[in-house]
Amino acid sequence: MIPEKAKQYFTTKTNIQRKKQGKLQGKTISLKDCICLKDVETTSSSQILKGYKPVFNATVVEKILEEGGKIIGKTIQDEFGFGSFCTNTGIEYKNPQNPHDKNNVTGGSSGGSAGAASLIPNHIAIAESTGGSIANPACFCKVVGITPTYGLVSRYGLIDYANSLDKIGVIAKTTHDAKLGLEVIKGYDEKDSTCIKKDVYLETKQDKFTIGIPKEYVQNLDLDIKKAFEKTIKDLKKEGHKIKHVSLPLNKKYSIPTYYIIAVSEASTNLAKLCGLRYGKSIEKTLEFNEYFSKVRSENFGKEAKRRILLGTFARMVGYRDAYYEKALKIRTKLLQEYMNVFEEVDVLAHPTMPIFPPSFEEVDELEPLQVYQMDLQTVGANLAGLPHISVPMNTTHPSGVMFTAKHFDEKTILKLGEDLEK
Amino acid sequence: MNLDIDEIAKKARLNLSEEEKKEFSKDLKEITKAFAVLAEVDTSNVEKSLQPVRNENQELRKDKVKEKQINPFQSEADEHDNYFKGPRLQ
Repeated sequence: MIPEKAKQYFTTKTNIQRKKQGKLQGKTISLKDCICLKDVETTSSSQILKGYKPVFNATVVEKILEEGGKIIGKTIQDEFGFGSFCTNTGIEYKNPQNPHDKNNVTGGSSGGSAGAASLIPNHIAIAESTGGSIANPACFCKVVGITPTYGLVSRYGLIDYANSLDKIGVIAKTTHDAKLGLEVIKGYDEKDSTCIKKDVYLETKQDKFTIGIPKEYVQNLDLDIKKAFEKTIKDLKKEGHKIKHVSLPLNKKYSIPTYYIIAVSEASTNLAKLCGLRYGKSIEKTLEFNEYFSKVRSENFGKEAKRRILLGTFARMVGYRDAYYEKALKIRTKLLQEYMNVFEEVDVLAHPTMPIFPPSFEEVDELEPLQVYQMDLQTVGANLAGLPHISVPMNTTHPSGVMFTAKHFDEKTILKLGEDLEK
Repeated sequence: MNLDIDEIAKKARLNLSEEEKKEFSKDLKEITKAFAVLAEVDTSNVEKSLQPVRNENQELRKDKVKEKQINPFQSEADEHDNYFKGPRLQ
């Protein structure tokens, strides 16, 4: 079922199917390792949760099984979602290689999902995005990745990275399959209080759109990516869509620090529950409780996890909380408003998903943490604002993608554009 | 700004080696310095956005048991008298 080349994208292989009939019949499904699958090891590709077997299925899993999907495994990711290249998998995990060039990274954090979708026929990979973890690897692995509006898909059973940023979405070979996956997993769930009681998309009778190109997101691009994007826009114009040049100056300057402060603050709180008690790794309970917790955590968290926990703890400390965490929450409001203002003039935004082609492992190794965080510029704005966005492959020698972003609950527009481009 | 890595690590329940303290201290200094641009933004009279999408129809569900009780314990060693076994207090 899993081709030899795709095995590296899986942390666990399974063969779970409840029904033979349904919207997903004939499709194999994989789940990013942060999504709880009952009785199957689920660790968010971490060492600290090694051995943890959830006692329940995530809501998205229940929906998949009810529609005849066959779950063939859990896919590898950056530990707890902490990464943009899938090179921060947990201790003793192996970083996956790009399906198009084994010297290059898959992108992250949903690297395994994108790899699986790229190599396995008739496959729908359920993934997750906090700051761009669906669009980024979809772009780098030359497949389609859709991140829905925050609150469209239930997070019940998703191991948290950041509660106000996490969204479960879909990666697949085609927009058609990505759309199919989203149709099945979306919907109100009373078990998730952030799930919006609205399981229909915004109705749109339009099939020609005004597409806004934010000038800040078409700068500093690899030349071939710029050319491919300009051609994509030309093709969309030929199809009858209108093009308008817009600007997102606040997002350009402040979305990265705002996103990272909020994300690591929430993550450091969430990861406080991982301490050798109740879930995953534990050791002999002979130490005093603080010593016990510290020992388990120190020995089992990877480097990036420790870095983000420290940063998040700092941002929430008395004396710094106002300047960092509280300030970021207020700036988030302004960044959201900037998007809302732009959507008064246009229906959808378009720009390249990533400014570079997939880098090699060596190139990634040389980056400082801050440089890595700055790589997320193209995707964090939409993620921070909870806006639905899709990455669709462009025609370049190396993998690249165009990203469309729409208003909240306007998935129909970006899915239509994705399908149009594929024709 | 004085970043006390020992204090932060203690709060985060992480034992850091001397090498880790050096590395993370440097990282945190660089990152927080870059992120200090947030201070430029005028946020007077701006409300915090705890979530990006307003949940207008949020309801609390009734406190009624719908499902059978599940066994939360990962192993027998984890459990004592239906409680999670933990490390000692002192």
